Amino acid sequence: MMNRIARWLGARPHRATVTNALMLSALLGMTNSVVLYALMGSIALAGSAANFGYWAAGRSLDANPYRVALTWLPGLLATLLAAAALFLVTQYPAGTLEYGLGAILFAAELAMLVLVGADLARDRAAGEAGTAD
Amino acid sequence: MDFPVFHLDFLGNRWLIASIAILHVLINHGLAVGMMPLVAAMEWYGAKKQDPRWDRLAYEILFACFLVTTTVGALTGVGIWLSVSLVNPYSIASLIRVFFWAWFTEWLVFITEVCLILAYTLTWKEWTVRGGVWKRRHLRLGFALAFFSWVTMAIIVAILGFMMDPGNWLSDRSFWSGVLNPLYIPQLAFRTPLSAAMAGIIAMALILFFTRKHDPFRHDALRAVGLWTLAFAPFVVVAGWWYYSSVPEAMKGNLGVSLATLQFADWQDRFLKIAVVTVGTILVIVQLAISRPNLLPKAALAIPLVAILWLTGHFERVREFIRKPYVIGEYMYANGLRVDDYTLLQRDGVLAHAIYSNPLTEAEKEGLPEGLAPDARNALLARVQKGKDVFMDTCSRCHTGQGVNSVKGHLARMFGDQPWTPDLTGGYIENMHYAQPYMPPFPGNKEELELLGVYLAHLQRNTAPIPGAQSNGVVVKGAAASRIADRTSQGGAAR
Repeated sequence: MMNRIARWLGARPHRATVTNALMLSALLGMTNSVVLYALMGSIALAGSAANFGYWAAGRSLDANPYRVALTWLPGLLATLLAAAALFLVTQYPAGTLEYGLGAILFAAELAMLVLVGADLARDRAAGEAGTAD
Repeated sequence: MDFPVFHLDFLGNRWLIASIAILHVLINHGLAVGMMPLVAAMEWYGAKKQDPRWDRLAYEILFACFLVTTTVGALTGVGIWLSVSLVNPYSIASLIRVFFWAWFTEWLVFITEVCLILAYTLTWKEWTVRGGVWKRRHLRLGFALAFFSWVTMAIIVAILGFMMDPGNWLSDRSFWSGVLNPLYIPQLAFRTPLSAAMAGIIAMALILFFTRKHDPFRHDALRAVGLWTLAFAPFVVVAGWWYYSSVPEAMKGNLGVSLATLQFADWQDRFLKIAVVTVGTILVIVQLAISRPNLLPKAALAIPLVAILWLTGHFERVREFIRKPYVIGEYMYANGLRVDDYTLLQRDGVLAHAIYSNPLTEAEKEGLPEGLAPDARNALLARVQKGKDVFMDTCSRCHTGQGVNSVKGHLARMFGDQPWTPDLTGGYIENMHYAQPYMPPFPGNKEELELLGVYLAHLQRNTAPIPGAQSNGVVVKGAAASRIADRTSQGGAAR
């Protein structure tokens, strides 16, 4: 079982990061601490957004407007929705519907942001390796 | 009062207009105004990349839209004219007088739009085969169609904005003041990206039907159309906020009732939260369509599709309701009576100026008190008849007797089982516009307020639906018929 999980995680480089992001979100949801959720959630969001921004900026340099939009919009939306989710979980007490929806949305959007950054990193690596874009 | 009173007592007159008009908005926004630029862009992209898959997909989406817009879309457009003329001929007559040349221009633009969509659809395959200059002409047809679709909306939105806030037209009565009302540009700025976003969501759903599951092109198409939707989403939010900020403050007070009816007025916060969650869900699914289209099952796209249709339809309900008590802001109340005429009507009475009477059916006469002498019964019936005429002329545009939004339902909620005496209901009706700002003031005189009370007291005992002139006919009030409602109608016919 553990070998299978390890193989699955190793098959794609971003899977481990996405899994970590989901586990962090779940942990924060269970801590019942607004301060901790806000602090750790913001750090995780900022880190993922910075990672995405780095890879997106590199890819935008010589791209047409459609490619620029395709590069930036998914990550920007994920950042925005994750920030909105973080706002929800810090404004409403644990156990309320708003808190639950916010926690789920934060986990999903943080994972999405990591995925988008990983996609861009993989595309860049493929480009540098001479693979057609 | 100058027209026979059309009335639907089960669903109510508002539902007739709403069902036709909302369907029309969903079709014209999602399948015409928003979709034509998207289809034209897809065709252009396919031609630029020499990729026939985009061309084929664009044609298939266009054909689906062509079928719906030229049938249900066109019929509901005409249906709006018919329903509004039947339900509130006074308001549409006023609007035609103000916006005659705008509507005439819109008619020309609409005819052009119909010709363009016919040409665009029917020449697609042949002109694509010919290629070269013919394909370029076809592309221009598509962008021209997109432009003209938008122009029809641009003209109509001026009229819709005018209905909520006529702005300077109230003082200078000029055509351009009416067109350039305070709500025109904010509403147009809101509806334009909304149409594009709607079209994007509809197109994503159609893509799942027009492409095969494991075809990589499906992912490219979903990604591109998802991006289209996402690109317009921020403009919907920003322009929506601008539009909301431009709505007159007094009308914003109606928001609670407009969102979910009087019974659920305290659900306002909950309703807004539901709307925010719905928008969030749409964004998440569109996000998936862009980043992980392979994970998106057909059923998932049903959610944003249903959601955007519901949100847009409900927005139309809210827009129409918060305008109350007016149908044309500060100029004409929802009952079809002009604000400026109220002094005259409250002096002379509504019936003095009403051409038609709405005769009671035998079923409507049931429920009179038992044991009345024939003369007394006839006298009471005469007062009930007059009361019914007052009701039909002043209340029936929005209220039914027995059906949706019935006066019986409201009176039962307020007064319960106690007898609805004229003093009881009259005391409320005379002042209801203070307690409920979406209600217009009662336009009749004191005697008519009492006659209305007599009618409402009779309604408490009678369960017959109120027929409209379309099924029950009218009595034309000739010179011999009584015109002034007064208290001498205790016995025998009124003077």
